[in-house]
Order: sequence, then C-alpha cells, then structure tokens
Amino acid sequence: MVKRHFAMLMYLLLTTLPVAVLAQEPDQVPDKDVRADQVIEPELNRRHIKVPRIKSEDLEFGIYYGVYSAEDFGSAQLTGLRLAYHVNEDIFFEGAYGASTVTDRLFRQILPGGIFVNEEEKLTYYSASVGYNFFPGEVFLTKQRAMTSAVYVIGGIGNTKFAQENRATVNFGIGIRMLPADWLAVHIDMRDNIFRSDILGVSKTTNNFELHAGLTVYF
Amino acid sequence: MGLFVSLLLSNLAHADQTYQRVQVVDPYIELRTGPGRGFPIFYVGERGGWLELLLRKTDWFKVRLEQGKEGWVNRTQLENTLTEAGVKKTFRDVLMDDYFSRRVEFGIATGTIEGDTLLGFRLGYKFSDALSAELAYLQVQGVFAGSTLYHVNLQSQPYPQWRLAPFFTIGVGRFNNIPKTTLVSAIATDSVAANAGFGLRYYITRRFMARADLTDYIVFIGDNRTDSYKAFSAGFSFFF
Repeated sequence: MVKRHFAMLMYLLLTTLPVAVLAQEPDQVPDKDVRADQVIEPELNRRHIKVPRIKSEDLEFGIYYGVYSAEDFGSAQLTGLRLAYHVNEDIFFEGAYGASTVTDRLFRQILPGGIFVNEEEKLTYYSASVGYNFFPGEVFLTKQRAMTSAVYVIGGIGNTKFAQENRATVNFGIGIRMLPADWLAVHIDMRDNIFRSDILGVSKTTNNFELHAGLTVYF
Repeated sequence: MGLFVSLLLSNLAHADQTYQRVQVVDPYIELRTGPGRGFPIFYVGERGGWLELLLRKTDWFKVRLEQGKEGWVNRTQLENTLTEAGVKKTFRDVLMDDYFSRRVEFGIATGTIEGDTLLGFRLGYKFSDALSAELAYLQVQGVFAGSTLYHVNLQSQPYPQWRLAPFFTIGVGRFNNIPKTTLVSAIATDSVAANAGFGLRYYITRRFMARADLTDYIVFIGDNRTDSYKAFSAGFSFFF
C-alpha cells in the first residue's frame, strides 16, 4: 500500500519533470555577426554609463541581553544573536539563537542529588519566526527629533536544549523597534517560549518567558 | 559579536559617494517621513526636479531633492521617473531584475506526523521556474522519543505562473530517532529514508508565500522492515 503510494508520486513527478524542462528552452538569441558585411565601420566613442548601486538595507543583525525565566528552574540572564530579513514593510522573518542557564537549587534543598547532573545547566535555544509590524509609527523624543518605530507581533518555531534533551518549542510575543538612524535599531522584546517537558515525572506544557533589549544594525 | 562590531563600524564610516539620480516625470512626487504607507507626506517634489536615490528599504527609497530635502518615496512612484540617460526602461529593469533573479528560498513550517508535532526548516535553490532543489530539516517531538529527519529533495512545479501553484517533491535522507532519557531500555534508530510528497504554494506577495505539504516518509529500518510516516505541514517561505 505504502509502496504503491510512493510509486504513484514518483510517477507523477517524473511525468511532470520533462514538461518543466521543455518549458525552459531559451528564446532565439539574435546573431551578433549579422552586420559583419558592413563596409564602413563608424568610429563611435560610446559613453559608458555606470549607474551607482542603490544601497539596500533589508537585513538586520544584532545582539540582545535580558532575562529568561524557565518554568520550575529559575530565572537567569540571557544573551542572544538575532538575524532578520524584511520581506516588505509589514512582514519580516527572524532567526534567533540565545543562551541562558537553568538551576535546580530549590529542588536540591528537599531532594539531595537534585534533578540535573549539575546544579546549574546551560540552556540554549534557536528559533525561526515570522513577524508582522502592526503599529508602525514614529517616536517623538524631543521637539527636534523623531525616530521611526514599529510595534510588532512575532511567532515561530524552534528548539530548546537543556539537561541533554531537545524540546520542540513554539514561541510568540510582542516587541517594539525604534530606529535612531536608518541603519540602527533598538529593540525591546517579550516572548513566551512554550514546550512540553516531562523532566519532573509528568509531561506538561511549560511557559518560559523572556524579556530582552537588543541592538541591531541594518545591512 | 565580531560580525556585529564590523557591521557597526562599516555603517559609522561615512564615505563620500555618488548616488543614482532620476528625474520626476509625473506632475509631482510625494516625500514621506518614513518608509511606510502610513507616514505623513511632508513635502511634494515637482515635475522636472532631480532626485538622488540614497537608500532602499523593502519597497521604499530614501531620496534627496536638489534643495536638500530628504524623504521616503514608494517604488511605484519611482517607476515613473527618467534616469540620467533620459530613459525610463533602465531604472525599471534594475528593479525588476532584482525581483526575478531571486533564487534562494527559505521557509519554516509546522504540522503533524503520525499524531506528533513536527517543526521544519527548508532551504531551497531554484534552477528554473519549474525545478528546484531543497534541503529540509525536520524535528519531531513525540511523547516517548524525539526524531530528526534530514532530507535532500527535488521539487517540480509544473505551473510556476499560477498564484496558487501545485508542486511535487521527491527525496532521500536520514531518519534519526532518539528515545527520551527518562525511558529505560529504548534503542536509538538511525536509518536511511526516502520521501515523496505533494503540496500547494500560494504567493501572498511576489517574495512571500504560504505553503502546505503532504509527505509520505519511508524509513528503511532493517533488511526486512520499512515504516511509513505520513506528514502534513503548513508554513511560510520567502525568496531572497
């Protein structure tokens, strides 16, 4: 049954491939030597115009620092890297990598030996998210100065690793981005990282909040 | 960190540079205070005036008028301007090429595989409008075990010009299953796997699309045992 399905899909793919390739035949290229029999060759000094490139700044790279609060395992400082790509003025994609620590200190007070191998364990996560700038606007600092800003909602998927185990993670949150210059942005972000964990014996959904401030550069 | 500092420095170092110039052909051109449709129009440039194109952010261009006013103009308004060579075509082509030459696609997706949650990342390269190759990394979190799948796929899109376009994928890779450390006497699996699938993509904008996949994964566990897992996933992708 399974193999039949597979064979059918394979057949479909193979039958559509040649059509796709044939459709890609290039148009007829005009022959360059068609004017080779021209007797008089005019000596023209052609102007070569080199058009300067327009600098495009759709990518954003930066660092952030804040607090990561792991459910049951304490809050600790968080540092991270962020790379974002702005598809249009509304939508952007963001990849992030963060590192923090978790501790079972409270459990060790009751249970000698604790839950983790060491009292403090490293926690790392990565995520890929889609964001939507839903309150674009300006922030007025002084009488003379205004900064472009946007409040965005963001959500995505990723992985959280601590205590030798990977946990599939869904994240969502809200953030504000302010641009002191066209190439520089200041972020303040709140996120909820949700994953299932059975480290305490029962499988449960955990909410792990983070709050961070960051600096990014457009390039 | 080093990358961040070097980017910071490269932006701080202002170099004297020349900018591309265009001339307004429409009766007027509107300058906004920021790169977005909601920002107020604070100045209007008139027909015949020259603009310097300083910077681009998505579909918005920062321009400088001859008298020194700087503001943001939308791409659609700039398409009706003339370049220094006095033609319209060149400028438009630069923009259009930029759009159509995008070959690399990145996407994220989530869904289910035999009842478990699936998270997926894809990186694709378009050989032509109808044929592309992609690398897929899937992570599955089950109650008793976690699995990862790495696959190399070939994708055929027979109707690339349609806004809602179907596609077919086929590929090979590896299936890796690690039982949870809280379980006793569970064996980890690492096997060769193949997949075939069907999907639909819908272009929300030219570079941004929604995508749904129905895939059948065949895992060759042993000489006389193969398993099949059906997966459904939906997500977003963009070209860059």
